[in-house]
Formats: sequence, C-alpha cells, structure tokens
Amino acid sequence: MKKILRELRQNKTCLVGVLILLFFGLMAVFAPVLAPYDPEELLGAPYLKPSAQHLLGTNDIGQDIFSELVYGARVSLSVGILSAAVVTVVGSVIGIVSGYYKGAVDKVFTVLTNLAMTIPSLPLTILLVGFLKTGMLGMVVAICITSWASTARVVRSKVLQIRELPYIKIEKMLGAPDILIMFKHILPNITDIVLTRCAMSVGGAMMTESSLSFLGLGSFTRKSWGNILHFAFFRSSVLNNQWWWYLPPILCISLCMLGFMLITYHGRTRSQLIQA
Amino acid sequence: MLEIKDVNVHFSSAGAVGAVEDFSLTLAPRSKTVLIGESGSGKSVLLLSLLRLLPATAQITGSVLLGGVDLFRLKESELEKIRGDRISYIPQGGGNGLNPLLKIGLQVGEPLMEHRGYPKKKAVEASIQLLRRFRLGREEAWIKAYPHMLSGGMRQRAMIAMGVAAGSRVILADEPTKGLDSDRIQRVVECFRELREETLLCVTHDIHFAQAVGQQIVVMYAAQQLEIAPNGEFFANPLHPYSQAILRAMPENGLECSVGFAPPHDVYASRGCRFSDRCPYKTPRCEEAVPPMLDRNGHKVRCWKYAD
Repeated sequence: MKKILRELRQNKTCLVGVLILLFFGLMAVFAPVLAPYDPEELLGAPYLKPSAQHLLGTNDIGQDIFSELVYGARVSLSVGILSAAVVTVVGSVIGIVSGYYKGAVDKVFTVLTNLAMTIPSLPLTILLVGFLKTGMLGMVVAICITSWASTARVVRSKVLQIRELPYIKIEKMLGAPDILIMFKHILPNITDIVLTRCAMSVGGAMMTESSLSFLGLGSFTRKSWGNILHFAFFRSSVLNNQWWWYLPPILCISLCMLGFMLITYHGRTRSQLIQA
Repeated sequence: MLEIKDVNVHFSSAGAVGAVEDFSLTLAPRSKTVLIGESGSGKSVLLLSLLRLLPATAQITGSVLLGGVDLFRLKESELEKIRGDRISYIPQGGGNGLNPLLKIGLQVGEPLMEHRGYPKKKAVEASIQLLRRFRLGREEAWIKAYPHMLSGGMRQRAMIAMGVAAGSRVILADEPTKGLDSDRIQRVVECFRELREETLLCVTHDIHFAQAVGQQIVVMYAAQQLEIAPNGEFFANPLHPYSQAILRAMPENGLECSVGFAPPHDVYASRGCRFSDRCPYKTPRCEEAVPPMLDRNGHKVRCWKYAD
C-alpha cells in the first residue's frame, strides 16, 4: 500500500487519473447527499436556465438536470465496471488457458477470439439489447459478448512468453497441477496487463453504454449520462442552444474515460513494485 | 533404483538426427552420477526425456524403470504424481527458477503442499529446516524474502532445497553450477554431498565439480555415451581418446588442447565413430561402424581401440 502511494506521487499522469476517478466515484456513492433534488421528481417549470435553485437548469419535463447528472454517475459507472469485470475475467481465463495449453485448445480459442473480433460489435450489441430483457444485466451481457476478445488476445500472447520462463517450467518438473501453475504462478505475473486491460475496458464499456442509451436503447427506468444526452438531443437542446443540458453529460463521459485511460499509465509490473 | 535402457530421442523438426542415441545407464540407490559433455551433446535433452518433459516434436523410445515401473508407459496424470514426488528436477543455475512474486519460504515449501498435503503454514515452517540443511544462514529471515533479495548462489541452494523438499529419492540436476564463481560452486558441492539418501544424476560442464561430486562419471559426445566409469578409475585412467583429451586440457594437466576446439559437425551422418574426425588414434575401422559399448571390468567405453 505504501509503495503504491509512493508510486502515485512520482507518477503524476497516473495520479491525475486516480483523482478524476475518485471524484466521480465519490459523486456516485454520495449522490443522495450531493443532489439537491430527486432526479425523477417533476419540479414544475421545464426548460429553465441555470440558476441558484437549478445549477444546470431543468429538462423538458421539469426535472433538475444537475441531480440527474449526479445520479447518472451511478448507472454509468456501475455498468462500466461490471462489464469490465466480466470482460476481464472471461478474457483472462480464455487467454491463459489458450496460451498455456497451446495446440488444439489454443486453435479453438483463437478461432473464437478472431470471430469475436471481426463481428462488428456495436450493431450486434444493439441487436442483443433489443432481444434481451431491458435493464442493467441485459446491457452488461450485450456489451461483453464481443469485447472479451481483445483482452484474451493480449493475455494469451503474454502467457505464451511467460510459460517458457524457467520458474514456470520448473513447476511442471516438480509435478504441480496445471490449474495451480496457471493461476498461482502465471496470473500474478501478468497482473499489470490484466489490470490495464480492465481499466481500458471500463472506458470502452461506458462508451458503449452511453451510445446505446443515446440511441434510446438503454434503461429508461434509471438515468445514465447517455440517457440524459438522448433526451437533450431529441428535445432539440442543440438547436435551442441549451448547452447546460447537453454539454455536462458529454464532459462527464469524456472525463471519466480520460481517468480510466490515465490510470493505465502506471506501467509497473508487480515484480517491479516488489523490487522497488 | 533408476534403470535407463536404450533411450533414443529424435526431434521430428530436426530430421533424422538423434539428440540422444542408445543411452543406457543404471543408477544404484544413493549413488551419485555425473554426466559430462559439450554443449549440444544431448545431456539436458536426456534429463528432460526421463520425465517426459520435452516438447511434442520429440519422439522418445526405450524405457526408464523406476522401481520396476516404466515411466515411458505411464499416463500423463500418473507421471505428474511422480514428478517432484519420487523424481525431482533442479534446473540450471543462476536462480531463474524462482518465481519473483512469491516469498522463498512459500516456494521451497510448495512441493510439500502439493505432494504431502501440508497446509501452507506448516509447509513454510518446514522450508526453514530445508534451507538450514543447505546452510543458507538466517533461514527464518530468508523465508520471508523475495528471490531478488538473495544472491545467485543462495538462490541456487534454495532451488536445491525446493527440489528435495518433497523427499523424492531421485534427483536430476541440470548444470547446477552454471554462472557461479568457484567459491559458490564449492557451496553447491557441499549441498550435493549432503544428499546421502538420494540418488543423483547431475549434468555439468564443470570437470572439477564432476570429480568432487560424482561417484560414477558418464561422458557424452554427439548424442552418444563414450565412457562410463567409477570416479577414481575415470580420472586416473580414462580409456576413451576423447576423455583423455578432456583431462589433458585441464589447467593442472597442462592445458593441452590436442583435439582442437571445433564442435562436432557433420558427424551425425557418418556411419562410423562420432569422434573419429578428431581422434588421434583413428584407424580405417573407426569410419566404418559405430563401436559398441565395451565393458572392461565395469569400466565401459565406446571405442574400437579396446575391441580386441
């Protein structure tokens, strides 16, 4: 823990990323405290300009946009993080198994990976969201269906390299079972790559979620940033020059993605951290 | 007892060339055998083949009997139980054989967890005793250290401790002194002398190390065994011209490199003795057929010179 803090002090890029994510994380956790109104509550006057009462004005049915934005962090972040977790676990397991066993197993998984990579993911996701039950879980499944592939590919190539190292080979010679070699000896040595891919997939998943919500395919019961954008655009906020409606969600999404991008610049493997 | 009979290893990727040809050797219980030879002579391949750890392109024939069971006929899952449990392997020196992320105690004790069902805490405690056996010094502190905190010599000894941890009776070691200076080599020699209960088969380039550790010396050249002899007999009276040349090239024997430095090349295609192109005693017969392994009162040699 101490080493991680010291590392952060030295690595300013990474620190900025952590601060951005901390900001949005706190926003999501303390949404009920921070938001002045219930985002679902109809407050009367629609299309209000920003004022002291409504920091970012109100939308077409008179809901407080600032409160929507604060609560939206919860949906956007949880969809992003949940999808990234699924993508990372599935992608890493497939990558490790296929890189470790090589041969026929690897061929099957490589074909699957290539297939998942060549299928245009957004149209497929849109199609799936249409058929699956609406709600967060359906969304997560739709996002994950193809995006595990790039993680699997990166992990596989790293495993192909690690498995030839003497300290992995000796495990085989000392009779360690494959499961143990893969998950006790290989996995800890590729955590840098796995975590980096994980942070990158959060950004990707949030982007997909926003796109889907923007297209009106998201969850209507819970508001996300993409969902706010959807209504902003389809109620002509751009034409009416209501920048306080469409600009904040765009900024939130972009900043959040920037945060996840920046923390991938930590660039240290676990063995380097141990030796630091 | 480990009995190696007519082991042949061919790599399908390398054509018909054999990496190991007609290798036969008997390791008596608690004996120490050292295998010497040039790089590429097939020593390491032989060691790996005994545990069937070679890549899939390798074709292995022959048999390896451990207590009457042929290891080459076992299923992979059965062999997995034998590896590390009844036959252990100590990899090449320098200490790359340790996972940089795991503490020494955990790694040395790991075979105990796998093969003896020790819980983690007990295995780590047992690793103190194992390390003490090889005199690491301050063992209680070192088991909490990561591999990079140890010196190369200490890592090598830790790996020997890891190899013998589960109590296997047969130890295979591949160049355990590689990359170590003479003082550290001396420590490794002491470690191996400690192994009183175990049967050792050790591969090395280091003739002094072989002399200090081995009770039986085996010389390999271009995939074939040239000579098998007890230690004293080998160093006092080497029979094969190649063995004689090796010993003459030692600093204390005058550094005389009579057969040159060139590695064996194109000899695999010849019908005759592999060493014939460099041999000072070459006769026409040497180029016609590979000499058989001749037994002269327990001192075996593959040379036509002793055929009559």
